[in-house]
Amino acid sequence: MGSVKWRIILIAIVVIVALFYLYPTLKLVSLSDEEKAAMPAEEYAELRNKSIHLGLDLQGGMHVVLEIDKTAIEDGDLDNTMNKAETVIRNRIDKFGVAEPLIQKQGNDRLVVQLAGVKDEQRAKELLGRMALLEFRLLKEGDEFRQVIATVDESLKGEIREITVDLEAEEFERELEEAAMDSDTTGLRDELESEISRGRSLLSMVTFIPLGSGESVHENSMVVGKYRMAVKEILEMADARGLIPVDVQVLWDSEVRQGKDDTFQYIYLAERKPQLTGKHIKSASVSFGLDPDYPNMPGIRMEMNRVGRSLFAKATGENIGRRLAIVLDDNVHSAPNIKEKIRSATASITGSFDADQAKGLAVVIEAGALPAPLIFAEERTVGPSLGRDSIRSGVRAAIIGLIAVAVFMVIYYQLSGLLAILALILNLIIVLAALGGMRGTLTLPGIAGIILTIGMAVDANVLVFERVREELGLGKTVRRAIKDGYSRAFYTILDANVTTLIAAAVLYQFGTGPIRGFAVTLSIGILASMFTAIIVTRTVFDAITSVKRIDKLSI
Amino acid sequence: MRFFTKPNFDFIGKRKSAFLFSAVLIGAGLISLAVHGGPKLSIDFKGGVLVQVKFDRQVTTEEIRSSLDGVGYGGVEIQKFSSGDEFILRGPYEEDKDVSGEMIAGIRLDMPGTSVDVRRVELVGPKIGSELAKRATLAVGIALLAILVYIAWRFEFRFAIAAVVTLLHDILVTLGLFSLTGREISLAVIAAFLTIVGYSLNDTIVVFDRIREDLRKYHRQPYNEVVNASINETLSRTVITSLTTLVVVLFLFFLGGEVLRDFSFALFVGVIVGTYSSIFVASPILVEWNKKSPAKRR
Repeated sequence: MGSVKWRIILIAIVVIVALFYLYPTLKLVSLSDEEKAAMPAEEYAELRNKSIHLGLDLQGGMHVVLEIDKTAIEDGDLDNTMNKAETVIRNRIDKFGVAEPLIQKQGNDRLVVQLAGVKDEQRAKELLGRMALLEFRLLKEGDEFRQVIATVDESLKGEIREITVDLEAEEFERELEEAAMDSDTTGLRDELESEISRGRSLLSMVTFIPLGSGESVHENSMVVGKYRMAVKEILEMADARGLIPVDVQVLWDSEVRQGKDDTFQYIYLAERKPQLTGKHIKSASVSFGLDPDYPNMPGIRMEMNRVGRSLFAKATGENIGRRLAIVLDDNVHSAPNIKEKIRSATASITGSFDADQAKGLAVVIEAGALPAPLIFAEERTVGPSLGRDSIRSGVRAAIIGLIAVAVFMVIYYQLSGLLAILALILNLIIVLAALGGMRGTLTLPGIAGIILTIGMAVDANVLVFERVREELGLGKTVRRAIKDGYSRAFYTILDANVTTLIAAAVLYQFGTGPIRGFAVTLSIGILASMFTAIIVTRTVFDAITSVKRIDKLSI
Repeated sequence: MRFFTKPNFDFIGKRKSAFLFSAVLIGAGLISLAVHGGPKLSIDFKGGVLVQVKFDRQVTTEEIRSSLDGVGYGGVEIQKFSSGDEFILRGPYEEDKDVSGEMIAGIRLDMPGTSVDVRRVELVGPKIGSELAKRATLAVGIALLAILVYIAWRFEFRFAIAAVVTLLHDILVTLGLFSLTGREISLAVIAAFLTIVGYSLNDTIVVFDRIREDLRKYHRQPYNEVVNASINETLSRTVITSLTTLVVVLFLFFLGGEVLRDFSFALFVGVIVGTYSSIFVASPILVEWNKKSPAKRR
């Protein structure tokens, strides 16, 4: 312990430095929204940068861990795929316009994405999770499609029967009910029952409708609502997939449409090899009136690059009379008929989405497709309203806790208690200043850490005060008692706090995000409380006793 | 003001009753854990989806269940806040489905006139969950080990063992109480456990420190008397610090909001148990140990 003078200088330096680092935060908090708006952008950004950052759990935001679907990529291609995925995600977020996004690789197959202040969680999720694989693929129609279906029917009779028998039974009940109203049903019952046991064939569940007239006759194929799930189930069986030739694929329309009696969904057989892909798209934007039937519906207008243009011209020129489907993530958005070779450079996607969804879609198409699907392995999103509530309740708990502890200390230790409160407040200032100075992040558990520190920080003072009381009880003079009390309490304080610091360090090492914030505030709080209890209060005692002789200590 | 003037309670003499009390407390917790098949883990560790929604009016649990039923999630766990307009829904994690999105869409679709504020969405895949569980267990283990080493270095090996046994006692009691009250163990609760470890240890060490000092000072007195005197000498401090900490933890529990409730509950229990154990568990272990193999004293 140096002389009183030097210690006062040291304390003054600590206080000044602390206030220096705390100042930006105080200023930011005191500014009204209008004043913030009136500030030059650069100045405001710097002020924010120097202030205590709020964690996503306090300001609202999204923390997502995306894991690459390793089954979808070839061995040894992981690094490459990850790099591509990271670029694509970064592109999308940049185009979407989120302030200060954080995108980081974690391990060899994960991406961590943090978006502050996201208001629409669903849209953000689509932005991150959507493959956005855009392809222009030629369709196979009519007999070719029937042939594929017939092959599946033939080879998987038993399985298909199993799937459709229940369906038939339900339908049978319905028909019977209807029939019962106007006639005798015994004959019908026998007839239907034998039908049920046969089940249904896949072919009978797909409806083919001729489309157009004259030279360009096409056939649209669709499945009505009551058969949809059964057809999906059959086609998704591994055996069925094996029966479909490798160069083609069955695709569904992106929409389930409303028919006269039931809903229906178009189904297509498309070539696997795309004529061109999203790589050939230069830009994509939201546009209205793309579908003349629905002039008010938003759609996406895409412009191709040079390569895309020549590929498109070639594909259309060589396939006049066929249909070219625009496929996004394996869903067909439209399948126009090629009437002539097209040299223009635009294409469009329409469907039933609102303007926001269309904008999101345009962004992902323009930013490019993900090289492999990304799985949401972890997500933690806090809405702005909950963040605000958390700050409010946290600050309230802290202030009331502080007041309660302060009142207790003054009642129990009188003037010395006042000194402990001074130490406590200084303690808080140091914790917050350190957070600001270290560019640390304040989280909700971090606030809890500060509140806990309020309770525990007085501990060092209590240890000292109790010891001083004991020494006074032995009949020592005030000066002597203070000196012995502090020196005896020193090692106790040290040992007791080091162990808590160990726990906090482990917590920091193993914890994630918010928990780390807790470990940080707890650690700084403990260090600060040792400083305030051992040096600051001691110095005040020494300063007073060195100025004048005190016979009775208010403790 | 003083709570105690020269206290002289016979803590060591009551150690058998204290051991019994601890045993009953831990036993009850262990039975509850066994009945429930282990601690109730939050989605942080077992994986799952959590959605917190707030409405602009009072809503019943049945209303929500029926809207969730419409999208195939009628079976999820629905927790209603005391305010009556806020809920937490806990659903399963499904890799290829946006469970939280579908639940929210289902509610919005079914309650067109009501505004639905999505306050929080958490999703943890089973892989990340088991990783977090591993890390949490490892963290508690490493913390205990590091503390063991530190105390063995600063004090004596038997002090270190007594301290760590005390910590295990505190964790078991808290874990048991969590199981008995049906609370979930989440990441935040693990953080609280580690804080309890730090706090309880703080208490224990203050007492041990005094024991170490007094053993040297009164080396002719019987071991258990010295230990008992040390506990009494530090009693004021133990009680005051516990009180101030308890007060702030209580404010945190009542005012800190729903997100921190389990966390502050763990701290609340931990502070009480930690204070009790530093008096009734840690020091008596030293006394028992000394009976088996008396320490060398100068």
